[in-house]
Amino acid sequence: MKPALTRYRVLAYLTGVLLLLLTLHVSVRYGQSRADGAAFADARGLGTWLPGGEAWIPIVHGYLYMAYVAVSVELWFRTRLSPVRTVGVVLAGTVPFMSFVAERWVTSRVRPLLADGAPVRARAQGAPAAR
Amino acid sequence: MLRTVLRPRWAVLLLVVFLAAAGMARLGHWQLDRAREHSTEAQQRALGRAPAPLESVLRARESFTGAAVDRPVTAVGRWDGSHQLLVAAHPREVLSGTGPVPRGTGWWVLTPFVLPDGSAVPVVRGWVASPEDPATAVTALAAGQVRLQGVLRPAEPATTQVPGAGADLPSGRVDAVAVTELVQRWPYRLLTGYLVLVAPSSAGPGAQPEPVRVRAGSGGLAWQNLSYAVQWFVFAAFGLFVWWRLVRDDHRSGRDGTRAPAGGPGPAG
Repeated sequence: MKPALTRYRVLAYLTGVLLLLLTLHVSVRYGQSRADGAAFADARGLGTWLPGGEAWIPIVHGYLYMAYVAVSVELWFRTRLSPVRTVGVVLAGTVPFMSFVAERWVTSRVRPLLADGAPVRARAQGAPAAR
Repeated sequence: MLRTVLRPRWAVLLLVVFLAAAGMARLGHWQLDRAREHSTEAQQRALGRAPAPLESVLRARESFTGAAVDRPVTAVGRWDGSHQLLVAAHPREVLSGTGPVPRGTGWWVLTPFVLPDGSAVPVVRGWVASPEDPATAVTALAAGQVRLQGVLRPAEPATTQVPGAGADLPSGRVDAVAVTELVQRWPYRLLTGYLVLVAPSSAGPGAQPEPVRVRAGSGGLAWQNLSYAVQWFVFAAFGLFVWWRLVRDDHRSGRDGTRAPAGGPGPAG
């Protein structure tokens, strides 16, 4: 439970940072292609300053986001936060800055569950329904 | 377990997950197509670069780098027609990239081009249909100092590992542009690649072999799109996994006399 929250938080930050880098990278590429009249495909974006950046930024962001989705869903399995909100949390990873907001929300919801000693899942679910 | 699976909620969710997974798989295929297209575009750009002086890209006995593949270059030097060879079964058109040159009908006219530092680069002057073609005549070579433009290609692997094998070819004929074999025939230090002639600034008199064209090939796949394709396929599989976890949890809590709350996650991603 706690490790799951930590995993989620680490990935939320990493995905958030990489998404900001990616957004910056694409904006710079756009600016470069406007300025030089060169093709967008030729503009190197942040790769002009970060060695190989034009290659690794999109690729690393892609795999981090994949891991972000996995740990978000894993955390949801363990806590049973609202499914709709979990979808929101997953989608937040695709909007610049929103994964940081989502991380605050998730942490504020999951922390109280951690503090309590009771089995997390049962309480998060509320009272068991009759069959 | 089967009864749980067949409950309407999970059956409907499974349908949704399948549709989503199918959509993601299509997106994955689309990214694979993009990976191929991007790679072709990259190769076209590589071939379209402004030519660089050959000595700034590759020197004799230096290892052939990835940046040198398909690099348009200019070179100044002189032809050595006395060591010209014909390369068997080579096509009029080759694809860019590091892939092997496919076998074809016809011959490449391969002539050493001696650079100012005394080393030499094998130059594919062109293609002829038959070894008796008059265009193979070395009298067609321009004399004296020549400036030429070509596309740099990595040497082909030697086709025969055994020395003396391939000796069934008449003299003056080889079956690959293999620098490891050429060093035994030519009295020069050689570059580790060869040039496909694009434009000699001054051709000699007489018929010239037809130019060999280097066309942008599909080469490999662009890494970024390949990654995105992998990720879409993983997301598709992940949606199915989430469905299975939900059903399993529902089944287990059903056995415990409790039931998990309703609600599907919607496929992740």
